[in-house]
Amino acid sequence: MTGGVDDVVLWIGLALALALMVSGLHDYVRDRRAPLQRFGERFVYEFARPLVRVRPSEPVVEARLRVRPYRRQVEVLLAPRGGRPYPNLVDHKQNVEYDVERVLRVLEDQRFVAGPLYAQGQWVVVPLYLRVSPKQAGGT
Amino acid sequence: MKILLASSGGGGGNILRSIKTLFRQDVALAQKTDARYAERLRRALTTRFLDTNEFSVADVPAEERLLIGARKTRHLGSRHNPDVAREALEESRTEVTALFRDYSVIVLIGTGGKGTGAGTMFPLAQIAREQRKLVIPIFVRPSFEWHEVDKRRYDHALHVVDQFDAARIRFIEILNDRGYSQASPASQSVVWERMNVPIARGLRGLLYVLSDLSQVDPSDLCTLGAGPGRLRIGFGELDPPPGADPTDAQIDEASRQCWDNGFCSFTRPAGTSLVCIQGDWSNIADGKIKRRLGAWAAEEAKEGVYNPLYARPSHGPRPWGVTALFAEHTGIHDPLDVDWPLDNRVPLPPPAQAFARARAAAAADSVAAAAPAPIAVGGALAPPPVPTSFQTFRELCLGVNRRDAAALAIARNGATSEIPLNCTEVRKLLGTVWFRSVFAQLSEDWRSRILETLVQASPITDHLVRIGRQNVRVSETTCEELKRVVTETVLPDAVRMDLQLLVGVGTLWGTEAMKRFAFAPLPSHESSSRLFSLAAFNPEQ
Repeated sequence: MTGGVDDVVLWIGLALALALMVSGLHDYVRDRRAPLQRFGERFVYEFARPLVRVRPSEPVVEARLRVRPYRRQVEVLLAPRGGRPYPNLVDHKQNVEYDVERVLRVLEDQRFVAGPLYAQGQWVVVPLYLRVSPKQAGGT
Repeated sequence: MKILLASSGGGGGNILRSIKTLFRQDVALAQKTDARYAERLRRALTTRFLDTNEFSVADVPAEERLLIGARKTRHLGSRHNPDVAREALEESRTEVTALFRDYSVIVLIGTGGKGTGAGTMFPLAQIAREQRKLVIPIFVRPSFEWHEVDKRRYDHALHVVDQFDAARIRFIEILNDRGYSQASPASQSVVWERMNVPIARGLRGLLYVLSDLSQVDPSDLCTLGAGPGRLRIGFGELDPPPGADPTDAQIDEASRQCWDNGFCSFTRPAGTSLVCIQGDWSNIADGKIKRRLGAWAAEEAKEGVYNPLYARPSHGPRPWGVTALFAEHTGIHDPLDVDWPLDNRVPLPPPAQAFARARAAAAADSVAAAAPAPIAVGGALAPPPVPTSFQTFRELCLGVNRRDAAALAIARNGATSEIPLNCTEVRKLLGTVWFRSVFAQLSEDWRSRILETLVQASPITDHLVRIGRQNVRVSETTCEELKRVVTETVLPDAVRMDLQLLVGVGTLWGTEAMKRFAFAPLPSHESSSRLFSLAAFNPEQ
């Protein structure tokens, strides 16, 4: 009987410890992701802001984020939308490079730097690196 | 009003050349159908090409060029640098200011692709505003996506857009990106024509309104241009058979064309807008056009912010249709402070039988067969005044309103004129809006004679009117109080006519002039019932 009670307590303790570990791991990952994700979203907004829209509510470029907290990196994937030519690295390489510089300048976040651009299918990939740890970058 | 159409830089100059060509074609057509109207259009408009590069305006007549920044650029251009262009304009500010001085309305055209347009469009608009002119900048945002410019220069253009917004100057922004459609590709010349035709035709409608401000109040135009935001100019052509109304489908298409100028940046609902309908058809067709535009505006904004100002030339030559200048609704703003000098209006040349003959002969001609005559927009012609006799005072006023030289000469004198003054006729004229501008042209002698004629019609019944909670006799009210009564109260026709007469006299001659009228007391047996009826009609009750 005593042994049975001990086992139950043990299992409950283990379960609680596991839950705490999972929760802690989740928080850890979230904390590392959050600043990268936020900066990626701001980057996309500012990149798209000056482009001419057909309708105000329609997105003007296709955009995806690839967040890699363990590498302190967020990759912004951008592609033309609705039959338009921009952005691409075939005939707009200089313009995209200029635009990446411009966006980083406007966002005024010195912790992030851009790596060399590359193409992946229809996407232009803009790798952005965080120079400090995500915790220092304001992750909760 | 005299209108200046000025371009800035090479891109703006190209657009101005195109607009000028289209405008000359329209004037040539007008010349065949209504020579006086054509003459007025021609004289109302002046074109000037501002540039830092002497070579880009080499084909422009010397009197239409204004080269800026001789020391800064040596007239070799701004080296694709907006800052250099800005300094060049600063150097030539005196000349530009002097140029703007003679015009009431200034339309500026420039592109943001390189240096001069990007560097000078905003400062030019500021100079015009400082001189209390109604300025309508037309700024072209180039396309970097289609390699007209690189992204850096595109951002220069965006900076200009931001400057206009920050200074709360409304402007027409043309987006060259919209000219590239993979679904319906077209040659560059076709796209340019599509962009420029609405501007040229829209300006024609605007010119009509501005050259004769009897249909749209200048204060309304000040409201139209007030506040930040964009303007959208549009034109839809209607060409029904002679004597017939356009079909519903034609009206639909033309209204849609006018409404949907996709080249213009315009992201908010339409607010105060100017709609000018030209064509020899029934008012039913006019109503359908207005209804369609109103319905589309209502789709965009549920709050009912669309406030159209309508103008209707009675004898506008072809091409007919509907032109409009829509303004984005960006809130309620104080009207612009614009100087509208009465003596700056462009007179209509005197009528001549030859013009009438030309109109009749040309009515049979097809529009397409019209050969453009060598007309120089901006040339100043001064036809000699033709002596005209005016049988009635109304005819004289109409003559003054269209700036007929003979009518103006009579209006300036008056003491010895044999034109009879009839009280009923003068009372009717007092009730019209356009008479106010005519009144400003009349000599003191005329004004005294008119007032004397009106006073002779007294006594006026001393009606009882309701002001607030009190019943007051008309003889005891001020002009301002009477204005409120007339505008806010439902009145019997006879009372309204008397009150309008007094308001008209008070407005034009001053409150003192109202006291010259004799008032007959209201018959006692009628006073109570009259008062009752007034009270019953008063919406304030």
